[in-house]
Amino acid sequence: MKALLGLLRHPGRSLPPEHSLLLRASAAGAVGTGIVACLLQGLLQAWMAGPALAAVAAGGLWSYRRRARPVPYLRAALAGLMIGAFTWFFMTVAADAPAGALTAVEAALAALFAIMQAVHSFDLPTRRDLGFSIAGSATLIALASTQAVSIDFGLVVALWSTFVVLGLAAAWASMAGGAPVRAAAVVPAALAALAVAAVIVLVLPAPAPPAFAPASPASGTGGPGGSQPSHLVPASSSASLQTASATGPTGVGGYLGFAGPLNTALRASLGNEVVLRVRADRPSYWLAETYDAWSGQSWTQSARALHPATRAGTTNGGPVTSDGTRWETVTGGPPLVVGTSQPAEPAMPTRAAGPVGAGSGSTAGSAHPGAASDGSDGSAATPAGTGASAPSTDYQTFYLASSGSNLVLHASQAMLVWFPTHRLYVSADGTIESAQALGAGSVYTVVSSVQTPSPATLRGANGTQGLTAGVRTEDLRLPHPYPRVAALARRVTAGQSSVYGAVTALERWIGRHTTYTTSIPTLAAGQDAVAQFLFGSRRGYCEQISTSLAVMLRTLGIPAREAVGYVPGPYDPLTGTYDVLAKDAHAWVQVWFPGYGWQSFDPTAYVPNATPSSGSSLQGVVLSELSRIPLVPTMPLLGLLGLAAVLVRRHRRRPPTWRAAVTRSVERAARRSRVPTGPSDTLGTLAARVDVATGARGPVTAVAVAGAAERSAWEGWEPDPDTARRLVYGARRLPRLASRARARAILSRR
Amino acid sequence: MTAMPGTAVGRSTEPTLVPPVPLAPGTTPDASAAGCPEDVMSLSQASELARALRDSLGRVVLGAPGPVTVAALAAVSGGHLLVEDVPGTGKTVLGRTLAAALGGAMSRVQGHADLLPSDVTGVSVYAPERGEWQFHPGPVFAHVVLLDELNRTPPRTQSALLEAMAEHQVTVDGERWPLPEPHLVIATQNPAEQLGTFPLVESQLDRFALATPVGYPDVGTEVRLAMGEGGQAELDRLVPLCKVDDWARLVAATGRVRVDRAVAAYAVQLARSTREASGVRLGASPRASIAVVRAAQAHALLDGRAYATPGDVQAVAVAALAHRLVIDGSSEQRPAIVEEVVRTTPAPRP
Amino acid sequence: MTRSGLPRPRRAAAPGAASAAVLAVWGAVARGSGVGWVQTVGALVAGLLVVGLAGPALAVWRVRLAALEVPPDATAGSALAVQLGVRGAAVLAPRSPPGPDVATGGARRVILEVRPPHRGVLEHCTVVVSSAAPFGLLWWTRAVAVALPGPVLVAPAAGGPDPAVVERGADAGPGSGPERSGTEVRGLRPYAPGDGRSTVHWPASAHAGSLMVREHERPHRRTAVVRGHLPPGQEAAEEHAGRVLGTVAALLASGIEVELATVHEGGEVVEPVPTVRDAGRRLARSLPHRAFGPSPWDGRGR
Repeated sequence: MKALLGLLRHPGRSLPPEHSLLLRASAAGAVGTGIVACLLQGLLQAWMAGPALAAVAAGGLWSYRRRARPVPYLRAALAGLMIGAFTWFFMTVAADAPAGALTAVEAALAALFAIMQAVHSFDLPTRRDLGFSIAGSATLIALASTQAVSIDFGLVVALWSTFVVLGLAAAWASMAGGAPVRAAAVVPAALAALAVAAVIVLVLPAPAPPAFAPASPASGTGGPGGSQPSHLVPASSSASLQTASATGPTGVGGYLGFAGPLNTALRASLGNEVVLRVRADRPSYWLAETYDAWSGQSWTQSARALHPATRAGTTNGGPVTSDGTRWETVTGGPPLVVGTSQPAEPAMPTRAAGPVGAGSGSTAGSAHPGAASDGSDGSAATPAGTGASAPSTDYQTFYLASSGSNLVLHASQAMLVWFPTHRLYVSADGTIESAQALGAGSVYTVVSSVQTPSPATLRGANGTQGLTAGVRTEDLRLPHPYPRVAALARRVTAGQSSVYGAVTALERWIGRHTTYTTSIPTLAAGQDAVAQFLFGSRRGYCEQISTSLAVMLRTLGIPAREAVGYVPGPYDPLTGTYDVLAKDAHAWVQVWFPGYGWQSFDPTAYVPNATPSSGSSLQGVVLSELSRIPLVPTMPLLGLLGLAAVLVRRHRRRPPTWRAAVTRSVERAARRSRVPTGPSDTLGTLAARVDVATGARGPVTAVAVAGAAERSAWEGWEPDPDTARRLVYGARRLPRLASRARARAILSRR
Repeated sequence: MTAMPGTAVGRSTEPTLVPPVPLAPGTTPDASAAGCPEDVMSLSQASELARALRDSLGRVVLGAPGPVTVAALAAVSGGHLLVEDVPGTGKTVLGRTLAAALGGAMSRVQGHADLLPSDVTGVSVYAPERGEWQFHPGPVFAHVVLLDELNRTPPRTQSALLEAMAEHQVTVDGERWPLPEPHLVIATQNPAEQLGTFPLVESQLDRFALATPVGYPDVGTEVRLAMGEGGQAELDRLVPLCKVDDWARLVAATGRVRVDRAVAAYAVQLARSTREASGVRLGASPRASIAVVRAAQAHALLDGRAYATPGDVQAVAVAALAHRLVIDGSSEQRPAIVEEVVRTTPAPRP
Repeated sequence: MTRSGLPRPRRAAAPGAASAAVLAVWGAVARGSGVGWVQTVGALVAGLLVVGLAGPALAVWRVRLAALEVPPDATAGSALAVQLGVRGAAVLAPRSPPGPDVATGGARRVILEVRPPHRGVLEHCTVVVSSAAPFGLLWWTRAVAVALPGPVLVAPAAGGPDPAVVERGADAGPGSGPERSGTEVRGLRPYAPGDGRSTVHWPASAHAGSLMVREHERPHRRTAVVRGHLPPGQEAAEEHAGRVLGTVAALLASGIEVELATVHEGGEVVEPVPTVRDAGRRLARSLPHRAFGPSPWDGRGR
């Protein structure tokens, strides 16, 4: 019993106390940086991070003061606290994240590590304990790095690395008997580590976005050159919404915004700024809203009936009905934490998977809840028409970088939304709206159901079955008869028996006969945009192109509507997200297929002209990220720093006396002349050889300046300042003369 | 009995030698030495005189600028000179030239196995007519003493000489006799012959400030000698450059050549390094460092400078250090060892 | 002249395995997650680990040692201060002869306290240089044989006096009455022909009525010859040498001059030893020789 008590009082402390303040400060700094990083990435709440930081600081001080006098029972008490933290962690994880929702675990994990560090910081008597602190800070940084979506995280990483390098260097200095930590030793080591890291980064395969499925009936006839995977593919899903399985970023679309009517006569100028980042299992056309009423110049929504979304698992937790008119989302609560489980299976008869979905490929970003979607992988491997694919879930997390509309973006058929505010509204066409506009920094996650029917299956689906009467009316209505358009449409689709065939035929025709440009003349009042595009300029961008397709389909009696949203922007391997730029706003067409719902088609993809996708190597990423650094404030700063460094260096290396300056110049000249030199050579000897090598061309011979220096050194003679200056200047020319003489010698040898 | 039969004791004819007077007990020879300079020679005068001396030597001893310089250094610095070489290479001419140019008296002793200490230092002979002992000074009482084949003399004689060289005085029958100042011993030894010789002990070698080989003259020099240039003929034409008192002042002036602390430390470092060089059983003594510094001062004068440089030290290192080393291999390798030491020891730079 | 072995890691298994595991896990995460920041942080950690694990090899290779000063004499089992010049921070562990570790702490000179375990001639000091620079993650070591500036003669630890080793006794045995040393005037005796004039003590002569001379030397030299022949066998020789030294010390303390007979490579040497130190030096050199410690190059050392 006594022994046990003794063990509790002072459990094995055999190592000597650590006295290095630098090591302690660096360890605390590394831990603090880790906690701040987690706080910045939203893994820790402020109410937890603040006290944890305070505890790390206070604990560090306390540990330093009591390093040589262990506190009785302290370690036992801290161990008890740790056990408590672990218990809390496991209970939290068990309660909140039952089905492998890793994000929930990550937040809890970050909290656990922060608590552990805070507790541990009160018991840091030895170097080994401080080493554990530094290692533990790496886990915090690692957790934060999985969530980082911006280049700014680099500052945190740089700060943390500095602390770690300083801490490790201080640890070694302390091991070596309290040697001072010298920059001359630390900086090369840090640079070496950085170089190794750079090599590893360059050697590691760059994180790649999931592959697209280029296989499409229309792909061969795509854009110019054929290399561009240009098509929009009808994708699956039953009764409700569409899936836009898209290729890489397609044409740049002029775009007005996601509110009110879509006026094709106007065009906003859209830039390269990032409006949002999306972490998604696969790239998709991210839908904002659809329009059904066409006036000849603008699209509007005829009647939008909004239903408040409900919390999943509460009232009518059954999320989705088969007719697609109503579905439930979850509102309120901390984001990413609430939620029941898998979205329900769409009530759709199983269909064979098409080749379209192939290659949705591996998952991107393990940080997502339920990242893997086996269904899509299965369909990827399955040839067309040979098997049925279960709908798979697709997670997307949207990080808004700038203030946007109140529309909630989503891919395909949205099932669940984790959303920061309490209310969401869903309209009959599947548009999801928040009660208020979403500001920069908003984050929400959408779970979509994805199913990809094959073209073969779509070919068999014709008609308007499944559409309510009102919808059918709206989706076929035209503001005025388009006889010329109708004639054109009929001519193009002659021989096509299916809706799918008609759509693809029209797409191909548009691709062949129009060109893509964002600079088109403004539309006169009363002029019809479709007529102007098809029979006038035949130049336009996504709105003109998609509207034309929709109108042509309507003249054929095929229900079609306009959809707007975003295409994925460049994939950022550093953060694992798609950077959606303002110019990635897009408009496309949705066509009704009985039994398959609204399917998306992007005629713009057929139209020549598209931008290539982003680089796929990390070098490219690094360069592009570097190019984002604002040059104007950075360059002068860097310049000043460099200048200061040069000045300091020069000041340090400036010889203290004229004699030393002369000596150094003569020695340098001797080195540059490549004359044999040895430790025993006196300055006079060197100077004589330099004079021979240079032909003694200078205003002052090396022997003369060396003689003066030697006389000064060995006799005590001091020249007047003028003479000394002349000697220094004369000597300073010698290395240059030596270089020149050597160059001459080499040249003449040739 | 002034000399053993067969002992060749020569005396120069120039009557510049003051008859020796015994020293009073307790006095040092330097304080009351004859020819002690009253006034001081300036360094520029000293430099001129030193260079004139070297040029005179060079005119007489043809084709050997190195040994001539070393001999001049010895004369200027007041140190003794050891010439290690085979006979017939102009050593005697070298000594005579030095004596003649500096206005001093010169004597020559041929070393052999029967040479007694008294043959060198002199003897006290009872003069019955006067009823007292009278000291007959030996050949060592000259400004320039040329000792041929020193290694043939027995150790007793060698140690008598040792005392004379070190202390500038001779003790005979308890009475001390001062030697004339300046006093320069030029000893030769033949390294090729070992039979019947008494190799010089280390302590005695250490008394010689400088050592040099002379070597056979090359063909051109021999032709010039045969045609009457240089040699005895030139020696006959030689006029003294100064009086012997000026020589003493020259030696004194050499001591005033400035030696920086770094230069002295370099000299000491060279001497110390010889003790650690591989193949060396016994390195240079502290006395060697002093000799190096003195010789460097003389070298600076010869170069027209009033201060010694590391270059001076390097120039005299072999002459001042090599003969003191006791090495494992053949003694001819000693200069190479010193050269290697000089090559590897970092020289101070301004 | 310093010879040294190659750097080797010390207790590398645990840090190496831990680092490999960390890197493997991180590599897998980085590959799978596809998030660049994870890769970047992982690469930084990997860089730190690589430099931290391999860096000490370079550091320990660059450490330079040179013995600057060492006393010419030492005693077996007693501390001997070896002053070393050091370039580079490291921990120095004297191995042969052994001594406590010294962390240089960036100092240019450190003093190693080594304890030669037995008598002999010490020419090298083998030091194990350890370094974990720059990050203290892994120790690398290297054995360095530092040539001492001069041989250190390690005398045996003095044992008790042993009359058996005194071969030819003096007229007084060890431990008899104390005698004054011979430099001062010991007394007067009547003048004998041949005595120098200067040795006559005039006051005493006047007192005695006949010439008396000062006597500077002892009338009879009391000398003992000690047999320092060591038996074969290292331990026996060591023990015997200690007894011999103790005997010599006792004899010298009694004012008896000692001639010590020892066997060296050139044969037996019988010479007086004026001080205990001289006796120790003689015994240090005498046969059988005993080398100090295994050197790193004889295949045994590690």
